[in-house]
Amino acid sequence: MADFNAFVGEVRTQVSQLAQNTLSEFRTAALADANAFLNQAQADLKLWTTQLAQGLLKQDEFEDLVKGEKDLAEMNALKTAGLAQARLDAFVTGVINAVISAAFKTYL
Amino acid sequence: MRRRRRTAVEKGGLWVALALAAWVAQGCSTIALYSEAAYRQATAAKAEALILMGKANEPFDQHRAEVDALRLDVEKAYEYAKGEPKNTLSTRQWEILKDPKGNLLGGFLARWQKEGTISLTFIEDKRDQVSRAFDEITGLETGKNKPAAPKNP
Repeated sequence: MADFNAFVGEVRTQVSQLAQNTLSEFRTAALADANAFLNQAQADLKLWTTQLAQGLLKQDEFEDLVKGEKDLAEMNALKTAGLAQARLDAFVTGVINAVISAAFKTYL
Repeated sequence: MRRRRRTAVEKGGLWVALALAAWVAQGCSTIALYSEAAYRQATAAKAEALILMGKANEPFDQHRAEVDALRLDVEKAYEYAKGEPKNTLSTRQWEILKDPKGNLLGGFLARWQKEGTISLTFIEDKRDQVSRAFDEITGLETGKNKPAAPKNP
């Protein structure tokens, strides 16, 4: 029973660290990326509006750029979704490896 | 009641079961692994696209062959992504980028072809957008999990 408790404790320790490394850090990075995207979009819109007012851009070019930003937002969302999937895959693999490692460490 | 001791066979079977579970888990990924080839295709296409877009203030007919070459390279990258299993997100990114009815690279090349030349201001603004679009593609690719290193023979 003592061996099993030690095994469970070891798994908990490893999985806790794994969750921090793969999931919590991803969440922080994803939020930072989203903020950066929004800030860039805002700056671009301001620039294009100024260029339109100055006659440097035609109306249809301005609309093209705005629609392009929408396309970019979709690509950004696809990237975020993909990175989330990759982090989840890494976490699942890590949990399995943690169980294996703890079993060898406890019982061998 | 005394606990029955595990036999050597049962202990060995436990390790085999755990190893098998690890092996199965490794194969149950939800997204494709990182591809060096896909990354190189994207970075090469980005450089090619940005250079060519910079020439769009010149008549399209003077650069038709270069545009065709770029479209072919982008199509190759798209087909490569599409052919990889569990790679729908990267594939969809390429679709958005190359769509001639869209508003990124494909749409820009279509506009250039239709209008003949494009203003420098629009070129610079659209180049920035297309550059960011490629960065979204390479950002996803580099964020994928790396395949296991091959063992030395």
